[in-house]
Amino acid sequence: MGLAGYLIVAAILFALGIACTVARKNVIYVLMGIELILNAANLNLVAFSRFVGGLDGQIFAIFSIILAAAEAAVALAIVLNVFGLFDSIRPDDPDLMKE
Amino acid sequence: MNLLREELSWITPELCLTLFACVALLVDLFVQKGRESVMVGFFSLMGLLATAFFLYRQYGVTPPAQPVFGCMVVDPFSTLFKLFAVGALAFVVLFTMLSRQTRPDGYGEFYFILLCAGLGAFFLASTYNLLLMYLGLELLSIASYILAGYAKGNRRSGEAAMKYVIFGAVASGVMLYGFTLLYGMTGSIDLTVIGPKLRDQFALDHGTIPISVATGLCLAGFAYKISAAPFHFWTPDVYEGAPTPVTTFLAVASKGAGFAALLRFLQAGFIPDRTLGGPEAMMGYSDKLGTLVAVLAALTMTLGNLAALGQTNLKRMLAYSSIAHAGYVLMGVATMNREGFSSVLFYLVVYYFMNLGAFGVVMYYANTTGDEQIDDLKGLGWRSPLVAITMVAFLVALVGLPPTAGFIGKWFLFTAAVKKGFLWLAVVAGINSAISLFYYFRVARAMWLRPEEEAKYATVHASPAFAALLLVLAVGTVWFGVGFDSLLRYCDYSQNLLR
Amino acid sequence: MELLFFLLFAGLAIAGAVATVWMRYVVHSAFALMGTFLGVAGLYVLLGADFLAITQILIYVGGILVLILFGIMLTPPDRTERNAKRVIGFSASLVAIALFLAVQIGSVVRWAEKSNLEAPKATAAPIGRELLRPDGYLIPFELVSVVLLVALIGSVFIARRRKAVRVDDSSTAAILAERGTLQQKAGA
Repeated sequence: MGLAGYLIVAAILFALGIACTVARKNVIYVLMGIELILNAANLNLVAFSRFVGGLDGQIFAIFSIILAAAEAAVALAIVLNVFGLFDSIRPDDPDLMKE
Repeated sequence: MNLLREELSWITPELCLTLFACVALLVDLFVQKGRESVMVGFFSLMGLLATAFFLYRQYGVTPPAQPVFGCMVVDPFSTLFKLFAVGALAFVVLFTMLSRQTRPDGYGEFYFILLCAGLGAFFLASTYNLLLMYLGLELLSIASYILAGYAKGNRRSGEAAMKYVIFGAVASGVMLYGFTLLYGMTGSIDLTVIGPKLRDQFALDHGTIPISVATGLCLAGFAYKISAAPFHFWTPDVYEGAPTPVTTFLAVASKGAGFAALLRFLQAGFIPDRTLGGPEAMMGYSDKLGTLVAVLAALTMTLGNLAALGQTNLKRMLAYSSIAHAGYVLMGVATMNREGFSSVLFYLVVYYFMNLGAFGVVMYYANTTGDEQIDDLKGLGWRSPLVAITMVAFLVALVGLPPTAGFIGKWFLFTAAVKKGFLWLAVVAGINSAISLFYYFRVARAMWLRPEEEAKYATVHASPAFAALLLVLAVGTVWFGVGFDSLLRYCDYSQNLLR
Repeated sequence: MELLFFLLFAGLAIAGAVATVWMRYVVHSAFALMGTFLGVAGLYVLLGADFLAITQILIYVGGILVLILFGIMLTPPDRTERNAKRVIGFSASLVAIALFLAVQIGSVVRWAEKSNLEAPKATAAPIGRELLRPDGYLIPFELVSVVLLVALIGSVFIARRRKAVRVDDSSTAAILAERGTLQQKAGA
């Protein structure tokens, strides 16, 4: 399979990830959507790395996986803290500050 | 081995900051209970001072651009932004020490994360490497998410952190996807290689649609970091909910680092060297990109200013005002030439003084009264004249009136935009400045034009240390409005050496 | 044969992603997400990135997915939030745009054709050497350790149980008071 096939798969994952973050209300869905976006980016990197040659893309993808893990941990800690304070985890729900 | 040592000597500021951050975490364990804030704070200040010293030593001797470890670059531009970040961090640390809003435990962690956020800003300002840029951005962002939620028992702080992390993670994911496309089109993750390749081969062979897609996705990430439209929604909630010292950090240091990365990204990747000539397609593309940024700038400043008009909470109003200012600064970015970029640097330094000052006054006021409403400021001018006078200086600068630095900064931005042919943008910005007069004036009116008897609170005394801080900032705000020559030369110098 | 595997893994990844966006229960979505992660790992193998494929499975499936499941476990189910029209509308339009752009980009980015690619080699050793080479990825490698330390300390600090409930603003106080009375009533 050529490069284009992988790019198309990555683009579909990316679009579904964005859709997941926009269309669903629950924060856990938003986090899953973010993981889809990052997976799409990584797939792009690895595919390009294969066809360009060299290891740059693969190493970039490794760093991006590490950062995804760090970000997920922080995001979940924050979400759990918010749940303890509000009893809700829809991002639209807690709105003390809207005018 | 010697080579390694020489390269290490170029990153002494970074090493120094990391070392002090890690030790601050440990200092917290050994100091007397109840004195952590002051002790760890002083320790962090010492670290920042040492870092600033190393940076200062570098400024004099830096060659135009010193590559370090194959992925970083030390040049006057990066040194300027690093000094900017260190200065902002120092004020944030001082504010935290004087604030009563931060929690009575976890100071070691707070200062550690704050200094690491500064480290992220350092790397963001001094690299052409997409991977390192992404890492720096993520370090800065992850640290900021935690800082925004630092007042754990406070619901507003929790909400701020959650909104910030959701927006931030999506935006950085989108930017990463854009970076991968740039890598795919050019086969390199170094902007100094990507730029020439894009201009010489890619634009010629394939037209600009692929480049536009990649650039657009990357810009989304930067726009989020500098809170420009259409990625500014998180700003008011996060700025209002986060503890005020953290808000100051987000509004000044984080935004500054975002602009540093944006300037480097555009300069290296998308501005063709006109002296060398190049394919017409790429020239046209750079101009088109400039127009896009100009539209975003107009949108950002208008949305920010209109929303600020209706605010009753001082902190939220300043949040919208900071969106509007991102719009003004983008005006300089939109010119896509050296003059515009140098006016951006100048305005960011000015912005640093006036915003640190304004948020400092908010913090002082909220600390003493537990209140952030604009209307409740009434009579403050008669009760606490020193604080009110400095606040007026900051407000005048934020509007952009002489004799403050705000006027000079805006002047340079406007002239740069007009010279480039963005007359309409300058007009929009002028109208916006006029609008902003209304809401800034409301604050001044509440403080001074109401009789003393109406004052809601008895005299609120600023501690001498705090008054000194505000005075320093106010003097800076006014001083650069008059003696701006040296600063301007400094900015030009930094900017012209940028590749 | 390779095409068959590509279709298999790509299908797994895309089907998993669609199910993640669509499912009504958040737990089902999380397990669908595992399908995507595994499918992408399979694609990595086809692309000759063996080390990365293992990393993907270890960190995404073993780490991030478990984190997400913990998040689901510790928060209540919310079955009313899915708006089917919204989900379909967004997904369909975004996928259409993305497909168009991907075809555009895929058709102009021509690095090498399938036929003249060299056979994939084991990547673990070269990646390891590259990560610690001063002119290679040493600085990012060190910086990412700082990022992990910040994330570690920060998330422990945020998620750590409070010693005592601190009442910081009036609304929290009101809610706590309300809860207190409810509990008293329940007790009585």
